[in-house]
Amino acid sequence: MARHEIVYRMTVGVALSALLFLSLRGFSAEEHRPPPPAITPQMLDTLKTLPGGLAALPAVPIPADNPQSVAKIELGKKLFFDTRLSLDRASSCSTCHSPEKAFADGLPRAKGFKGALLPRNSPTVLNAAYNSAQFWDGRAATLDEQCKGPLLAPAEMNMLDEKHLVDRLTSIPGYRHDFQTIFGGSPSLDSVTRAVAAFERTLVTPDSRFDRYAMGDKNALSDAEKRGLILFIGKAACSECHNGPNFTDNKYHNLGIAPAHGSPDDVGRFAVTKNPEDRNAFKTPTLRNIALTAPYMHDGSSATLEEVIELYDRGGGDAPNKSKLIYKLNLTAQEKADLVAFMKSLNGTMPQLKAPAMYPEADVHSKGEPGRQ
Amino acid sequence: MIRASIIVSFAVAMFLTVTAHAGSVSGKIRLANVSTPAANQAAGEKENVVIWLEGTHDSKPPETTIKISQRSLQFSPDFAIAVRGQKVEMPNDDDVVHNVYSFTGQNQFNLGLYAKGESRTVVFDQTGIVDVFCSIHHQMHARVFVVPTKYFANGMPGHSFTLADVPPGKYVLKAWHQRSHMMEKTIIVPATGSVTADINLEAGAQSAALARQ
Repeated sequence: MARHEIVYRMTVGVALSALLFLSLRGFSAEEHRPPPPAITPQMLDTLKTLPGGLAALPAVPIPADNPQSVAKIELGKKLFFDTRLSLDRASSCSTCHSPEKAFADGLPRAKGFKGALLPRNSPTVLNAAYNSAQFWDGRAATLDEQCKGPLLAPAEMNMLDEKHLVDRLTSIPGYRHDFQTIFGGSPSLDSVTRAVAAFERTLVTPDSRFDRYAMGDKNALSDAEKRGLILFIGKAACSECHNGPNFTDNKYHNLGIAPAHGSPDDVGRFAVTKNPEDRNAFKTPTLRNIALTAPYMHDGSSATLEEVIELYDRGGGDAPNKSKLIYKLNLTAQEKADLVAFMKSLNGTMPQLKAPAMYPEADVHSKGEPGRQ
Repeated sequence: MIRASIIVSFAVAMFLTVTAHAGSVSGKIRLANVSTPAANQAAGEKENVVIWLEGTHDSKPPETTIKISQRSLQFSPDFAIAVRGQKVEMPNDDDVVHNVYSFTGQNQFNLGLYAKGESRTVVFDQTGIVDVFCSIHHQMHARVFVVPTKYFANGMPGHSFTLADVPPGKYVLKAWHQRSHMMEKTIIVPATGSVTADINLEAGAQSAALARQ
């Protein structure tokens, strides 16, 4: 037998050496002995840290140039829900990111300006503050930057340009007052997005059963959920991409999902980088609260978590340029059920909030604005 | 197949080492029945050919370590040559756990489960090819070819090879290629200068089995 030495570089090594000991029990020198035994929930419980950097949610990162304040968060909340931030006064951020739908919209693909079907599924805002890339193609790095996109996009809130947005908000005395107090000036695209981003940084969901497990409460997950977690970090290799505290690598992968019939070929990350390897690759979404944010995938093509697991089990779709990380998994029915059970343990404590009951009153003396409809 | 960069750099290091009383062995690697270099490359490009010398020289393993990572659910590289007794390090660079093992003859081992940032090291005592797998991710497969000497080269059909800095003497030159019969021939390495020894491989499926003996 070959000799082997063990090099420990992490504290997890000590716990895993216990697993090594367990896995070597029953060792035999037969030429075709079976593979070593799988990890058991009891073995999982001995780990000090989880592979893939899976961990409880840490404190929300706050950018140095946009510190939180109670007044700013409150203003951001009003703006988030205020339909006057769209050209036709029909939609707000909350139209596609509704608190009743875990800050997504429950639709396969979002509905934009005048109900037009958009190419992609609305991602949840919950825990987006932890991500280092926003949008399915990562074209914004921060929530502040992200917020500018839908406000001005003709297919979404369609506010035409910064001037139009500023005129609209400046015509509302209450907002004028708020912006002056908080930002020391009249409303601007920059201060609007700062306020909205500050509010969004409060939309986090700590204290899921997974978080409690990761923080040491070994009874927080059931055996089925633990078996699901073992598959997640092992055979199903989910954590190769869904890793870190927010279950995303903030990177882009092509699952081979072909564009749905009648929908345009969405090139994904390629549109940002022009790198051929990024063609049809989309950002790894968070899996926190995933049971609440159906349907799934960038195009909403999977209706349920079970369908998602089936997609991965058969090695993704057949479209070209598929990631080498996607391959047939050969999961059993029990394993599929365990994975779904684990994902359901990622529902955290929802932020307790409703749409504001009151919004700043419009100035009845305002002469309106060009393009008012 | 990916050639182990560490092997390449080792070969380069050997090439650059100048000692008195050492010769070199070089030649071309060809697949039989495939005449032109271009056809050879087309037929066997990226296929590894392992060439080594057996003789009475000192065969202490090098101090350098071979590294085979677990990265993106594959072994990287997926082919490496190790001298018998040389350390082969197998770090996990993935965000999932792996359990690396081999059933190959006397070289079998089982490293158990380990996570990112950890590494375990294997030392092979027997020469020949070793198939390495992960018990969790069945598509992962690497091969380590264990040679008995530090005088080896990793070549490809249609390319040339050089074994530099070889002490003078009589050797058996051996060559292994996945799709060919194992090949051997006797050569004499002069005190200075070089000897030419081309490798002519013939198709046959017995190499792997022979290599395991």
